[in-house]
Amino acid sequence: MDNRQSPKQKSHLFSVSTRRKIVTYIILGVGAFISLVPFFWMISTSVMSLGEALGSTFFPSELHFENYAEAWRRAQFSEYFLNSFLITIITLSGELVFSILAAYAFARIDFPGRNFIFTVMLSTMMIPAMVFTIPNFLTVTWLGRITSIPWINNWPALTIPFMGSIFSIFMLRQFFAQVPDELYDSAQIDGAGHLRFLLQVVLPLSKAPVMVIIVLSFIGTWNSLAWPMLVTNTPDWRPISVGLMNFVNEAGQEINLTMAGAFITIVPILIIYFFTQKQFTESIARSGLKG
Amino acid sequence: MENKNFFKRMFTGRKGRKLKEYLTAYLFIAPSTLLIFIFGIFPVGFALFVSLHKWRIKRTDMIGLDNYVRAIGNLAYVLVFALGVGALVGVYFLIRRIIKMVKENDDQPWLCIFPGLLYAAITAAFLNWFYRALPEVLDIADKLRGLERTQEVFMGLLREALRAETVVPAWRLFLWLLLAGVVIGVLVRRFYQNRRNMSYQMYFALIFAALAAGVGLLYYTYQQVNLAYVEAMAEGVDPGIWPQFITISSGAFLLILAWILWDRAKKVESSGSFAVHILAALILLVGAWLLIGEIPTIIASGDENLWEGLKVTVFFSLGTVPFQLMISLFLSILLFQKVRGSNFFRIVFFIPYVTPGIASAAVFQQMFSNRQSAPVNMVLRFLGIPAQQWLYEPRGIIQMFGEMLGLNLPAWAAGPSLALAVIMLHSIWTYVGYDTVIYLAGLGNIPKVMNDQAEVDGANSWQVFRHITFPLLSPTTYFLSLIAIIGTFKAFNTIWVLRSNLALGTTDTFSVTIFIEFFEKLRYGYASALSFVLFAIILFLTYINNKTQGKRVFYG
Amino acid sequence: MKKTSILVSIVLVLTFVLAACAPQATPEPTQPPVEETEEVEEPAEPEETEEVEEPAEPEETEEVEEAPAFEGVTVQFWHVYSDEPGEGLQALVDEFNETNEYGIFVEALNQGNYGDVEDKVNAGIQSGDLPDVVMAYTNALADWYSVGSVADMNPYINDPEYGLTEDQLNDLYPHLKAAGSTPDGAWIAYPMTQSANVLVYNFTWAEELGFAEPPATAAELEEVICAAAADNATKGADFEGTGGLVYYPSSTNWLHFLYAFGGDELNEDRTAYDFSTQEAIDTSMYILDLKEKGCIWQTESYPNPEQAQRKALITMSSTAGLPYYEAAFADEGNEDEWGFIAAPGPDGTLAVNAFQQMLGVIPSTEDVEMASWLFVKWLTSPEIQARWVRISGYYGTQVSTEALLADYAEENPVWATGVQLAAIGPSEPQTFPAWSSVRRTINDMAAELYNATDQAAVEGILATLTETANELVEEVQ
Repeated sequence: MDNRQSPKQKSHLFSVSTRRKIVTYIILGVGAFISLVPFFWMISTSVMSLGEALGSTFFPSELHFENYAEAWRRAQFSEYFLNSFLITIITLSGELVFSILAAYAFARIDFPGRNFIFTVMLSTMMIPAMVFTIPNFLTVTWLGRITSIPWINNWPALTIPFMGSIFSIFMLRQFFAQVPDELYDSAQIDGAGHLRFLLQVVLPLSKAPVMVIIVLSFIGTWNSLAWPMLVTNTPDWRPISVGLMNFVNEAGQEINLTMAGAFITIVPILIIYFFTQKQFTESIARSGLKG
Repeated sequence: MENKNFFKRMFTGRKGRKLKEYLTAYLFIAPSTLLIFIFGIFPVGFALFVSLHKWRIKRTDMIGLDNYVRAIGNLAYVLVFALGVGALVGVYFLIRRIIKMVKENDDQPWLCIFPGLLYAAITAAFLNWFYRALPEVLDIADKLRGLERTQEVFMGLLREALRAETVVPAWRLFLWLLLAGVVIGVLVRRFYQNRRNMSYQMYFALIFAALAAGVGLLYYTYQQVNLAYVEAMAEGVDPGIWPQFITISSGAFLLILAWILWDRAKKVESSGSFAVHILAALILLVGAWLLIGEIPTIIASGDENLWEGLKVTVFFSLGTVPFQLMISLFLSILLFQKVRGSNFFRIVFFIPYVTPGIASAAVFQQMFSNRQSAPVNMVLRFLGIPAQQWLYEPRGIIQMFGEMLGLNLPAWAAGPSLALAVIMLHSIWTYVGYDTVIYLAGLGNIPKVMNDQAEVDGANSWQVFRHITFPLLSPTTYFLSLIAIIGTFKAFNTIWVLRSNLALGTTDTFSVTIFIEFFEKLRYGYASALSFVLFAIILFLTYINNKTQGKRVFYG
Repeated sequence: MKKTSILVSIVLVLTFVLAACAPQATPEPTQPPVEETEEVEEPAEPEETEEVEEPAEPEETEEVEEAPAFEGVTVQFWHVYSDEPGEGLQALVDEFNETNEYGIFVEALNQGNYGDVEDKVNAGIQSGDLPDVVMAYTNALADWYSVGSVADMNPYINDPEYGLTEDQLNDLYPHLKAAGSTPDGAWIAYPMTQSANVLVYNFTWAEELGFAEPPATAAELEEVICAAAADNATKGADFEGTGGLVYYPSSTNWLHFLYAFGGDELNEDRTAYDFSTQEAIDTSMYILDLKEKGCIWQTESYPNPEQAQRKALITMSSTAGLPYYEAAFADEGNEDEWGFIAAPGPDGTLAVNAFQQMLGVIPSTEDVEMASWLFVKWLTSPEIQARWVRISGYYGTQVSTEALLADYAEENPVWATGVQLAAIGPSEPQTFPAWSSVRRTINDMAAELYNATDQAAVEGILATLTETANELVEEVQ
């Protein structure tokens, strides 16, 4: 125990002295800079001419916004953007509904086999992703063959396999479990069943984790590439990532165009993130607590 | 009307309400569970099936454990054997549990043995049917040639496949057992009315399932080892699997024994405890010596790429997780002081995490290009350091530092390659924001009183951090490290983007090795076997992490 | 917004339940009458396909004569062209669909790049959903042929009615039949176009450096690129470390030099892989030497902008990269004269690494296979091929195509220099067993060779390569 410090010194600890503040800001500033540097670089390259993009300049001498038009046209984004939105919305709504229901049951209803089922599902998170490609391809093929809707080259193959998400269930369960039991008891006295309790009490309290799932799933679905390529044969349902990849294959050497194309695909994610970031950071944070 | 009454009766009363509750729960989890079963668990069973075959583009022969032996040498036999033994040990614990339950409640649940046995048999029968039906269904791919692709044709072929000679009896057996299971289950419920009836039935079912799995695995290992012996003897070599078996098993046994003793020692009186500790340590030494002597020679006959991949993965984990956690802890503590604009920084730090990994990897690729004019090389040049090859550099970073200082370090001390270091940087860059935000939340949960109290006691800020903040953050650290370690073992996409053959494989983690086997070399059987090896390693790490960190975690 | 999302989710739940219930229900009917379904189950076709694989020409022609029309036959064609070439190809296919006298309908679908096509066919082999005609490199087609998923085209090419005439066969460049045939004689890959990995050479800059003629030997090559590298060393920061030759150690580029050095992948009696040859050692040592002298370097992407910026005197590229080089030179406003040359060996041997964009037919019924062949035949007929070359910038596969493109060659002098080069070859032994896997190993080894320190190391790496390659052959046999 070191008790020799004077009270004056102690006050420096968590109160904010100016010197300390400056150091803090410098460190945070450097952190922010490092976080953002690749972005600056990406954006600035995307408006450069090709020669500049390959040179050693950090800032474009003149702005070539036509790169964006060129990338948009050559990657056929107008064709693929709508597909991406549809795929993402369908996946998200399915995933949300199913995950909320399941997470509620896992969090608040005691039923035989609860832990067993949950653990088994959770362990699938530890399996390398490559294992799933071929069996799932076979499954969607067969589901399309024996049901009346075609799956391959259609929205079911692109969306339904991703509607069951153990990660979402896991995250929501953490939140639903925190809702006080008293609320349920009083709801029950009012004659509300589980579904009503879920819809009227639990969900309004859980906007934040729902946001998290929306953003994370959005990112995941929006960026998926290998699977959509595998299960589509025509451009009808191909998402934007496929368009970008085709374009990058062709324009790989034109970094400025590639960066413009990549930035276009990121924009929707950034928009979603900025609109939800408050709930998002808060709820990510809370989910981490009771891991 | 009658129907309605029946349902009404069914769901009223205490029992009925419970049933309704169960049904609601199952209904709620049904869609997700079904989907996860179809797209998450079925593929695992499928992969297990694939891993037992020689399967290059197309399935050919069933080759048993050969793929595993190719990957990890004869250790494969030992591990399957250990799985069998593990199942039998599980049986022992389950029996103990049942006996305890019986004694506590003074029950006579022995009637439940029958439904338990039946449930286990139903599961086995289903797996048997699956195992027989799968190849038939897969063979349809060839029969489809030139056929009109209509739903009727597919249904016809599917029916034909499921009616193959080997499949039908398996299906019938399953149906009969299912019927018997339901009938006996209901009957036993009638005759043995006990609140814990279902639990007993489930426990017995588990016991029989584990028993069957254990015995089955042991027999399978025995058979496979014999097969290997026959093959090797034909070539005139002694594969020496049995001796390896004995050394490794006894080594593992001694390790477990030592662990149990060590655990017991805590409960023994202080004087005896010392002796027990010594004994445990001795046994541990012997066991470890046995294992260390044997395992490297065994796995040396396995796949070199796998161990290289594992080494790279370990580098990747060790080079990212601790740094990532330290940086984010530091940043979160800074942010936690009420600085103005902390919300802004929080958003900014988090941006790398929401950026698609492939896009940011592409940016890193350009920034860490080997060109003289690439941004990072420009910075180096500004600092008077020669430009580097970055992602094209296979030399280890420690080795390179050594060379700079004029030292000649041995090969084992080379460290991760510079190329891997760039990939690590990318990974750290991506996840620091996420970790920071979670640490912030953890900090928010620490009661302010505790810090204040410590200050009053005269601790300096390092002491407060060391003795109060950090221990109280342990659940957060535990969660983050677990997620991060699993993440590094599964990481693939960004590494693939940043990978170059010029790095000479120093960036190929285990996942990358698996991907190459799957999608480039098209060895589906072998790649599936490798995936299970990786799965086993991740499970083991999770378990170790739980055991070591989980215990010390201080849930404040 | 809320309403619609709820609506969507309800619809989804319903469709999902419907979709998910159906497969579950299927295994149940084990007992129902067997007779009914048997009719469906035994369509005669699958047995017929087996016959197709054994070339039984006379029988086939009889059948074909009985039913000469292919009315209503749809052929699915997977290719790798998007953007402008994709539209051009689609226009050709549309034309075929309108004008062909057989009533064949071709559905052409872009499936991404060659890697994507390979992934999709590999997955399709598992599920049974495959196209009828697929575009791929020969080694991939050979892999699929080895598991029975690509048809031997001999019966169709030799078909008296629909096959190629003697003249047409002779019109095809002589090496192409061998390039598309397996060692046992099955013709599994029919060339749509050709291209070659060549050296792209900046004539103007070389002249400024004092080299009037392109290098004719390996020694001359070294001289000219080292001169360029030395030139750039004086130009300032952005040019530091650039200059000479952009050589990325990939299998394509390494083999290219190996060919120039007179080397080969196979042993003398062409029964096994053999890389432990003097030529392979010389090639690797030559490249290592250039590296040490600082005359070669790498970029992380295609090097055409560097060529246009005079950061590289020579780059290695597929002739198909021509439009991108043109764009890069135009973008830089660089008026230098540049073109394709072959890599020279020590004794003046010139070599490129030639590739063919191959079409393979996937086994199905005889009718569909024949219809597929008819489409392949049409697409590669000189007149159509010439039009496709104008769109894609690849090279033709027949003598008469060359004649039809005289004006195009005149307008595109750089393209014209490649015509002869593609013909010199050689090509990789793509139909030799396990070539796909061996090629991948060469790719890794080329990087190791580039990092080797001395000749002993090089020899060691080549010995490992030979050993690994022959092990890979064992694996597929």
